[in-house]
Amino acid sequence: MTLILLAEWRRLVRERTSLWVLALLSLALGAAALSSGLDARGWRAQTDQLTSEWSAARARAAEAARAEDARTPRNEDRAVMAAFQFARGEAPPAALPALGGLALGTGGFELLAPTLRATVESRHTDSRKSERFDNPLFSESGTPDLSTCIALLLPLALLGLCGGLVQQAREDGTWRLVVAQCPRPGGVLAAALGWRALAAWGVAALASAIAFAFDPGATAWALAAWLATLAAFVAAWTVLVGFFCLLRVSSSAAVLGALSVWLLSSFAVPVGLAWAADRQARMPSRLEAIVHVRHAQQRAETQMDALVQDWYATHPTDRPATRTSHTWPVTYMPRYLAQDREIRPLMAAFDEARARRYAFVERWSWLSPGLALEMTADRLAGIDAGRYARHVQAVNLHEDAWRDFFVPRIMSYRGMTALDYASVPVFSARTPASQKTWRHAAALAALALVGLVLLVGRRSRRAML
Amino acid sequence: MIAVALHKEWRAIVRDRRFAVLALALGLLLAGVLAVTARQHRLLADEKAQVAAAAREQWDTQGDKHPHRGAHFGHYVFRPESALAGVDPGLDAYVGQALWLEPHRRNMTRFRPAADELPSVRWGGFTPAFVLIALLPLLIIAFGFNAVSQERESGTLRMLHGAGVDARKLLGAKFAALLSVFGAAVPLAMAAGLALAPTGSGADTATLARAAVLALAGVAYCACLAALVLWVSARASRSRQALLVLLGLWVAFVFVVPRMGAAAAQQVVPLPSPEAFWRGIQHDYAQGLGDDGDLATRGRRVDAELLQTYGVSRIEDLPVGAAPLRRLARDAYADRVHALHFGNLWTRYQRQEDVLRLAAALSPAVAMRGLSMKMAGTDLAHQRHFEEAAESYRRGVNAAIDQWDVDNTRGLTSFESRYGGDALWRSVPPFVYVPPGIGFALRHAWVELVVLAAWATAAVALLLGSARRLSP
Repeated sequence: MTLILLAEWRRLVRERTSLWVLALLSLALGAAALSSGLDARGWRAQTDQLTSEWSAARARAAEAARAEDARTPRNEDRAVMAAFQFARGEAPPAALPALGGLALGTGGFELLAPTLRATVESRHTDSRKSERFDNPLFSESGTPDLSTCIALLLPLALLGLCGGLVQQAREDGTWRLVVAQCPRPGGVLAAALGWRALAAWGVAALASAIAFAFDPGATAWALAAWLATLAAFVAAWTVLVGFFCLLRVSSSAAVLGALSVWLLSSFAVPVGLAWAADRQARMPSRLEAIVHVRHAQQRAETQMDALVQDWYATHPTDRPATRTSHTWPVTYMPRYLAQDREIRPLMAAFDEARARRYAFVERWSWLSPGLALEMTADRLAGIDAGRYARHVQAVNLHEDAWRDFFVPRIMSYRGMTALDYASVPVFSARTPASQKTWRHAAALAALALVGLVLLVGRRSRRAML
Repeated sequence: MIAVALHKEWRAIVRDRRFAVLALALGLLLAGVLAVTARQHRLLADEKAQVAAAAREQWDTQGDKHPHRGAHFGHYVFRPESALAGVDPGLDAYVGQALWLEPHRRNMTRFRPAADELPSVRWGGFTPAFVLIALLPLLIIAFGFNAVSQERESGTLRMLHGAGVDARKLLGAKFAALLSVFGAAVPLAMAAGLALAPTGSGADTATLARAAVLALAGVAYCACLAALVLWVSARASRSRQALLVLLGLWVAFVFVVPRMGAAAAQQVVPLPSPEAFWRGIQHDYAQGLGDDGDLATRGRRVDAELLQTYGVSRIEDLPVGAAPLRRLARDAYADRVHALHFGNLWTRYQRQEDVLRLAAALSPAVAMRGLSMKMAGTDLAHQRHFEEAAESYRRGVNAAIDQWDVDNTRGLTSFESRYGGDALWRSVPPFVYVPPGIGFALRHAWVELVVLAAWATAAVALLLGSARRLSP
């Protein structure tokens, strides 16, 4: 077997087509790794910058409050307005912390809004607080994330390396010699496939290591989990291409057959899974939600006076002694609270539906190895739908604390003192990583194993002849 | 002689079992994707119309409010679906579906459908355009990779050579056969897409002209690919080698070059973060542009002009509404600031697209992709056209409400008083968006047209050049 291994290794390194395939794969994945690693670094730096900018804004607000406190008499209206302006637009960034695998791609972070900001107004009706504006052109052409490039290109590279190996030898007339001289010709094919799979995995692993090296927040655990999933992914595709090598067709037909499976599993299966997920957990309509949101806004506005009275009735200690009528922003605070009570569940339904769809598709993702790999990358980066939904829940809790802190100060016309700014609620990101990260690796490994059993079964029927 | 060779090639294609299986598979796939996309497109168009009507009804029946508070209730506007969006939805999934128009500030579109999709959305959408631009070339490769190399392997090329068959005519016939079979797919898809378009989205002259340009470009794209496939097949010593080279080229054209182009564009022309963008607008509004002075200074200047114009000494004594006049001045300034920053942002988008266009020199698929979106009206330029029309409407609506307030009040009024009613809200005309004509699309797509023509010319020239060196 050692001699066969050695011979197949020599064949691989002397075959120009294989070397070209590996070189082009290295080039493409290397560029993607560089791009993804730099993006991940930039993403983390941006999050840190937002936090430091907020600290500076808080210090400025505290300084202004100190100056206001020193004035006699204290101007209540100005104090309220300062507190309101800070409470509506200067909340600390509530960022979904990226995990150790962010270097695999920031594409998921680009599509969602992982950094939210609490407010005493309604963040759901303000597009400035949630929308990102990366160039949609690039989303459409496909992100250059490393995980995406690997999911799409690695199977094609394996196809170029392993596709039609047996048929080619048969067309050249060398396969009969192999079968005649070798007691176990399957070993020759296994060695050829094994070396090629190892080479392809090595290129992808090296590119991944480069991307992780650029990301200051990368972790060894994430890299290990990724490399293991990558190994299972490569094994699944190698077995599949190997299966096509044993079919009694021409070498070109074997390549085209494997290519068709790649197309189906990469493009048709995800569409089918999305359709099935729609049946399981239909995504509510964003457009329809607009009508409900406006309805909630209108109702809260028409009930504004009553809501203000109700608020003071339930918070008697915050009722100002000297004022009988109120104006904006005081009159708006109970209104925002009321409309958000209606809007929040509406918006949460989107995150919940997305998480349910994601969970459903995860169960079936073994049908599309590329999708399974992409979902693993999402989990390792920390942007899977389940974790995002939990993050939004945490932000809602933080927003409640933010409002509990500011609304009484605004409604009572106390405003903020310099000392108060030291104790404003700060979002503490405690969103744990989603479990089951190994599920995809296990599913892909199982897929490879099943394929291997089929392959061995086919070999035992002497189909190789 | 070329007619005989062409006839032989056609018969060979028709008798090839691969043709029946793959053409049927691709045909069914294309029909299925067209039907599904057209249905989604129709449902979305209906939903947009319903929601727009409901949102307008909510606007009209707000009841009694302060006019400015009514204005803050705002309008939601939706970009109408273009008739060819069923063929190429382009950026539709990646730009927001709705745009909220409110006083004082310009917003970004909201609710990107892609945000709710599975991670596979990052591989690109599975649409009719994807089938035509990415999968159709694969079919051409599947048929053409051994068109010449197999003749060489089986020895028929030597026989043809010996019989004195002109290599140019032989390759020309193979090229014409491939092109006539596959070039028809794009015009057929266009016709099906138009037939399935929602009623009212219009198969008007402009749409037909756009579809015709797209169909012609599709034929040029197929010509380019057919010539490249035959060129590789003529140069390769073996069919498998030709197939692997062509698959490598396909991967590069369809997947690698667009992604690398996108990565390069993002590095070369970075975008501001959302926080920096909005902060910039806030800063310029509060501090002023150039020597305009800060908000307070500008406010004092406006007050002074008002007092002088109306010949009074106190704002409270103005014979017209003072607060809406002040608001009009402030908003006019805010509009200037927004126009500046949004203009810069769109310029950056445009420059990023220009960098991506450079990648079209390395991939005809990139040129075809850009052209397809532009003709379907689902690209960045059309989105900008819509957003600017909406912005113009936003300014008009808010100015009209403020002007009503100026005309119907005196001096300073309380923000808490409710003197605007349904008659005022109903007097605001609805937003009617007229999409730009084909001239607009062609102006934005000329680079792609030139690049595609250059690719087709170069590929055919390569093929003809290889005929001279075609060895048996």
